[in-house]
Amino acid sequence: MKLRTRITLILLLLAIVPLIGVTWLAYHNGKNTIEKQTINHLDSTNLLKGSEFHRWINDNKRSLQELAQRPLVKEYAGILATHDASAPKYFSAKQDLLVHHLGVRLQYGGFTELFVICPGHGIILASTNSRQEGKYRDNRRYFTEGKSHTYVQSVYYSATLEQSTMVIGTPIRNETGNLIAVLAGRLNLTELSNIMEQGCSLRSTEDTYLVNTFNFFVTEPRFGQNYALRKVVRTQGVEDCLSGRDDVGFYKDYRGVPVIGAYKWLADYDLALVTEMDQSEAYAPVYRLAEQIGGITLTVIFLIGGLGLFLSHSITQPIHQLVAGAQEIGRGNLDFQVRTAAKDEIGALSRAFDEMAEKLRYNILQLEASNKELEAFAYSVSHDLRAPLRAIDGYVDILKEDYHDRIDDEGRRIMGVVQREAERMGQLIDGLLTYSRLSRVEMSVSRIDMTTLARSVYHELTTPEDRERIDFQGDSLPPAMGDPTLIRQIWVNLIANAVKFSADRNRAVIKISGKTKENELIYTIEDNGAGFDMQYVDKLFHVFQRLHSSREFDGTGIGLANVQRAILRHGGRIWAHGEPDKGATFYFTLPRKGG
Amino acid sequence: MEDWEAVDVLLVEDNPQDAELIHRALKKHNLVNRIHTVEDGAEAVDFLFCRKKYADRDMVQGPRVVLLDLKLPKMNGLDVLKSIKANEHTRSIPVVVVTSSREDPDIRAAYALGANSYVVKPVDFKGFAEAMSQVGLYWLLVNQPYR
Repeated sequence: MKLRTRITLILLLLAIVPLIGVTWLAYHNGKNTIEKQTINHLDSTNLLKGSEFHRWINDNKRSLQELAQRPLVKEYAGILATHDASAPKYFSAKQDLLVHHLGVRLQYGGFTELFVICPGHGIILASTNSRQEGKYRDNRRYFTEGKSHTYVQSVYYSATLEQSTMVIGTPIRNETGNLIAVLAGRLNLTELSNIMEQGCSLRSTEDTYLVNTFNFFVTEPRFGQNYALRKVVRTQGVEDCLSGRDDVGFYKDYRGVPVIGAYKWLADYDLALVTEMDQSEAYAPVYRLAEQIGGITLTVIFLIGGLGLFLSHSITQPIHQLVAGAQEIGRGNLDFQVRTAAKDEIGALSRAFDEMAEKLRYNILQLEASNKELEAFAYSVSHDLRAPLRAIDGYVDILKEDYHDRIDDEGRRIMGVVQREAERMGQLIDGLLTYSRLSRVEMSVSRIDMTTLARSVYHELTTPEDRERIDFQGDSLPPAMGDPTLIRQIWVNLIANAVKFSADRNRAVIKISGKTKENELIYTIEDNGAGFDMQYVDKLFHVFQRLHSSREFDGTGIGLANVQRAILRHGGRIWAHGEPDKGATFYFTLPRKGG
Repeated sequence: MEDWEAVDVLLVEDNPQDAELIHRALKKHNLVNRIHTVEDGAEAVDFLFCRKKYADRDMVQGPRVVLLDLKLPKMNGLDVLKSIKANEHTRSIPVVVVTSSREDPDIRAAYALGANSYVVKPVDFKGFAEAMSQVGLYWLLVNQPYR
């Protein structure tokens, strides 16, 4: 991964990870707090509504009891209960009761109907709703229980009235405590619904309602019309409450909307009091917070990303310059300098680089100069060394030709030695010239058929008699990429050596092989000749280093040095294995793509 | 063979031993009657253009071939070659470059300047004498100069 990308990513990571942590914490804490708040709120709303419900019931209970204790009400009720309807007293008593007492009371609210029931048969003697009069209510709980004490019969559906209803019954007694009649009041359930709805702001989704044991709505929920005792509700909260528990919960309400709900079991009336609020509304502040934090996170990511790019650019820019400089110098432009004004570490590196390049340039120039001098020196030395040798050889020739009869055999032998040594020295000089030429000539790389080359070199170096004696094996060598002259030089020296050092074998074997390994070509030439002692293997490739005496084998000691030079110039390697009197094996490599 | 008297070689060679040996090799094969040897480039130019001590020499009298060593005192072989090839009277004289090494970078320069051939002085003088006489034979007898 690029340094630039890495720096930017690290910065982003450094910024984002804590930010995400903080976001999560804030969101989590916020949600928790809001949940607690909402639950508290719903709980207290529920409590409040519960107590308001109780107060409303109690108020109406007391109001009914107060009505039942009025002396006139007792008197009228007694007349109605004991006299026949045709009696003149009866009609006026009923009128007075309905108009001045029950009717007036009705106007204060709380009840929709007030009626008096005969304690004997349970027949309605008088009612503010005249259609009810004469009907039997002997099996109603508010009547049977109301004969002895004030009793509230919880909400039920009245088939005769075709509506939901809730009735309170209370006894009317005379001074001695004997039952005269039962006074009953039908409660105004619309008021109850109003109580439940009270205090909920218009915006809020807060919703309080009552549910009876048959899962019917008792009051109108906020988001429904004519639900009361017509619709059932079986939400998790309601079911839980109907099993007698007071709790809070998260569930879907009667509309299928996720809500937080608080519920309370009103055991006195067998009713479930439920207050709910939409989760979406409750969590709205948390969602807003999350949105804000998300926005901030995005902004921070963009800012940090930009900053990271800028930072990494300011760091990598000088590095790119350095790389470009190194490549420039690699291409041979030694005069290149980065020249930075930066005072930071990279500036120091650039200056060190410039210094290094300067020193390198100086060293290379020196090296080139001394190399040239050395070559010129080697060249002119070998050049000038030839002149006296020519003279020695030529003048000995003159001696031989012109003074032949005046020199004896010993003299002629000595002249022979002089000429032979002069010739040997000539070979040494030739070797040196080749040696210096090998590092001087420009290489021109082309594809070389190594099998053909090795074979032709072998034929050039050997006489037909040699070939009789030598078993030469060299087939299917992999072709190489290299300078044909230099590669030829390599084969000439190696094959000449193999032939020379196996000259005393009756059956000489020279085996040449080659193979491809990864990015290298490895060639091997093996003979069964004089070999060498591995102890001296490191001297093998040095100029004028010989492992055999001239008496044993002729040679200048330059051949293998030349081979090594030619191979090194191609970027290859050479090494050897040998054993005295058993033979020698030379290995050399060439890069597959040429030097 | 009636042209023998006209054969004339200018040998430019500063090494007296080499000069003597070349002289001997050419004489031995009866190729030349008259060889003139000069020891430096300046004298070679004087000879060719009949100047100074060669002022009374007739330019038409040759030489028919110049054997030129490249390493010479005063004026080097390449400069001599340049002068020969620059002058219309001497341009047609064949010049054989004599050098001590096949590796001599000057050989290429000599060819570029119009040298006709080159001979390497071997350490083995017999080989050299052989080469020398071949060259002499070719340039003196076979190759007819345009006069």
